[in-house]
Amino acid sequence: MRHDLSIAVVCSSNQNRSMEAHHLLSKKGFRTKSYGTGSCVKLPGVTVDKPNVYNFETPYEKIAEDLRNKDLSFYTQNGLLNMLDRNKRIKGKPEKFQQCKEEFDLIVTCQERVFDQVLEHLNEREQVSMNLVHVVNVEIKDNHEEATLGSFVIYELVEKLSNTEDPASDIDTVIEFLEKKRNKKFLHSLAFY
Amino acid sequence: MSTEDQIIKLLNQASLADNTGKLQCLRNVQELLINKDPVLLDNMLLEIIQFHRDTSADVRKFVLGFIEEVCRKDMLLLPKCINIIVTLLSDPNLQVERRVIQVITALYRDMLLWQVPQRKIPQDMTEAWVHLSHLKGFILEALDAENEGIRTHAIKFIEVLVLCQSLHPNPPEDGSEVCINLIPSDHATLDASSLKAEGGVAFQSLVNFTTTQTITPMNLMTSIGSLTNVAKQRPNYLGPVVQVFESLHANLPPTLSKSQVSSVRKQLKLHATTLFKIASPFTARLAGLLSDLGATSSEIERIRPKTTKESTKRSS
Repeated sequence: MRHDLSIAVVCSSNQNRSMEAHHLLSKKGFRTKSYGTGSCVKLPGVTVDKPNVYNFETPYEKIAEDLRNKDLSFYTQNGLLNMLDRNKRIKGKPEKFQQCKEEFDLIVTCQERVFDQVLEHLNEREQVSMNLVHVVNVEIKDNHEEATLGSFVIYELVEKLSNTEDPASDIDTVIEFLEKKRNKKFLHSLAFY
Repeated sequence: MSTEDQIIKLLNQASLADNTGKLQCLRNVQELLINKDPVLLDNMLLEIIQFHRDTSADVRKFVLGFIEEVCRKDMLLLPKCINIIVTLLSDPNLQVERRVIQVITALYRDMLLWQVPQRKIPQDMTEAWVHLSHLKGFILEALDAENEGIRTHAIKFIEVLVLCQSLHPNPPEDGSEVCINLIPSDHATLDASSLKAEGGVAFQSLVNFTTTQTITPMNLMTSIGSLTNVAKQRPNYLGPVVQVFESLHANLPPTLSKSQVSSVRKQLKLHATTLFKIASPFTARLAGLLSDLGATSSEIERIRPKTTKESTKRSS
């Protein structure tokens, strides 16, 4: 039996890594949400020192429109417009993790700094329901190729976990298995709502 | 259609539906009873909690959640539900058993909170408290349970128990929190000194559990978080908790894998940071621990508690 886990995937800007995994997990039928932990949404600009910065309330469509107006050919070539088109088909706008009130069974982060920020936020909140949430970091570089490969690792983690007899207790076994198989190190922690 | 008729219709539908449909009907009933017409709660309660015999674990978990919410709304309904909680504590499904521990954790604290200001306690409430106290014994023993998840929730129960049954440095006057200071010496059902002693024993059992060499990483991280919550709110426990953290840093269980060691050290650093932010006589020791755990001196200075900075200035 597959457990109906509630999952959040979190990266910094809720654009590339978390949205790629959100897309794949939703397609596979998992209850998934995605978030970013950054103070704002940052996307690469024409030069490295000039990123495009938006607040979390800016819809994907508005960001795409802004980039199209700035340099249609550049942002088409580097894949950003494609990515934004994919994102807006999943949800309207990026969401900030620290503002989310929802509870999850599993939160997967895509970067160690994001993992730290998620745990810091969860531990600062007042504990009410005492529901347990597992937080696992799968380190993924922030580019399209790595985001695609990373989403498969996240999918495998979620798939394996949801098929264990008791996900809350079996997560360490699943992580150990995947660490060996993928030759990757995962960070794992937990918190309570 | 009256709310009562709506509820009866939904309950009839629930008894004939499949698991998903049944849960949906019961959730709708809960919504109507708790948010729309709570006066019906007393009459309709038994109709809903009878679903605790359902073959679906999700339905049994729903019943537990319902009991928790109902009792938090009106604690006087606990005597009607306590037997169901007792029965479900020995449920064959682990998730149901864990949910029971969660419900007992919430109700134990709320029942104490309810009792503290009462001058006279009705007989059925006294009996419900005796039952809850009996269940407490089972959960304290669950630190030795075979299932890791059960142990995790037992740790959280101990955290709540220690917080409720210890002295608060500034007890809230509005009675929003339970602590030993607020229990009058002539209370009808609560004996402050024995509750305090029990809290101390529970804290020590959590310390012992945390420092066993066979503890699993998940339980270890839960314990670290629980000890932090206790020390943060009850400063008289800060010293022993700092000592546990120092001992863990020097001597992590040998069974942890390399990545588990990284995860546990990260957890230790996060919680040592929380405690470091509180001005206390342990600031220097916590700064040393943070440094050993990889915090840079500028990181440490950035979060150093202000009063300590001032007192350092004064003393220099």
